[in-house]
Amino acid sequence: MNNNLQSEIINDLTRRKKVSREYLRSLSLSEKIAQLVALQEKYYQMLLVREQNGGRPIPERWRKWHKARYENLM
Amino acid sequence: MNSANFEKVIAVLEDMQNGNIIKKYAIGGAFAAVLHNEPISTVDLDIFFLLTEKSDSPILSLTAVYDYAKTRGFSFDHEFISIYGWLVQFVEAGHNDLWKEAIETADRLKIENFDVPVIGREHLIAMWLLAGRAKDFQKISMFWEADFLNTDKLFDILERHNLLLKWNEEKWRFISE
Repeated sequence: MNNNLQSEIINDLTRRKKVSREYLRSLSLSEKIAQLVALQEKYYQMLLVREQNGGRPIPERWRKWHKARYENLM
Repeated sequence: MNSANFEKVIAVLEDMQNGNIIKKYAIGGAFAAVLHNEPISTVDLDIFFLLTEKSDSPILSLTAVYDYAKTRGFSFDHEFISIYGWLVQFVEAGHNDLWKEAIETADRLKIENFDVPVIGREHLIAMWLLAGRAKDFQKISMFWEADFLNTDKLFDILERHNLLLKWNEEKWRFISE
């Protein structure tokens, strides 16, 4: 890969990252909380898949999170 | 699960404050970073609070909080109380001047029907610097990159709480020159 192409790719990724972060920062507080909830769900699923495939077990804190979210909703 | 459940948590915190279980509270930690900046994953909601009466014992200081949780039927497991699907960690802040000041001067952010006390950006930076874990430096880096800090205010806080030296020693971790 020549230097110009590499530099273009880096610039493009940097620009995309900036756009994405600006969008996230512009969300309302309620939307940010909803995004956080979605992130938590995705992160837990990732930990679960890792455990199910013989990787490290789900950390205790995240087990407690899952229990709080799904077993104790009042 | 949506932000409506979060409102229920705030209603509980307001109830605790109105019932003198806690004197004052403010949201801190990564959750405060989400509100000030952008969503990042965090397992819990950190609530920094001041007691109505001064206590020297961290165990005694949480007794009233756990007793309240019991009466409301909220389950708890070690450091966490489960409130409407959120893991909430209560941190008594009376023994630390920086934390105390952070609560006293917290911002009020409007979330749906509540003006929610959230620790200000500059105090959060100082608290993360004091904690000094890798994840704390990451959050400082995010805030610095967001370019929304009042640096005069930040350095005033750092100076008053004897954190300037630590800032200068550690800044290579979170500021790219």
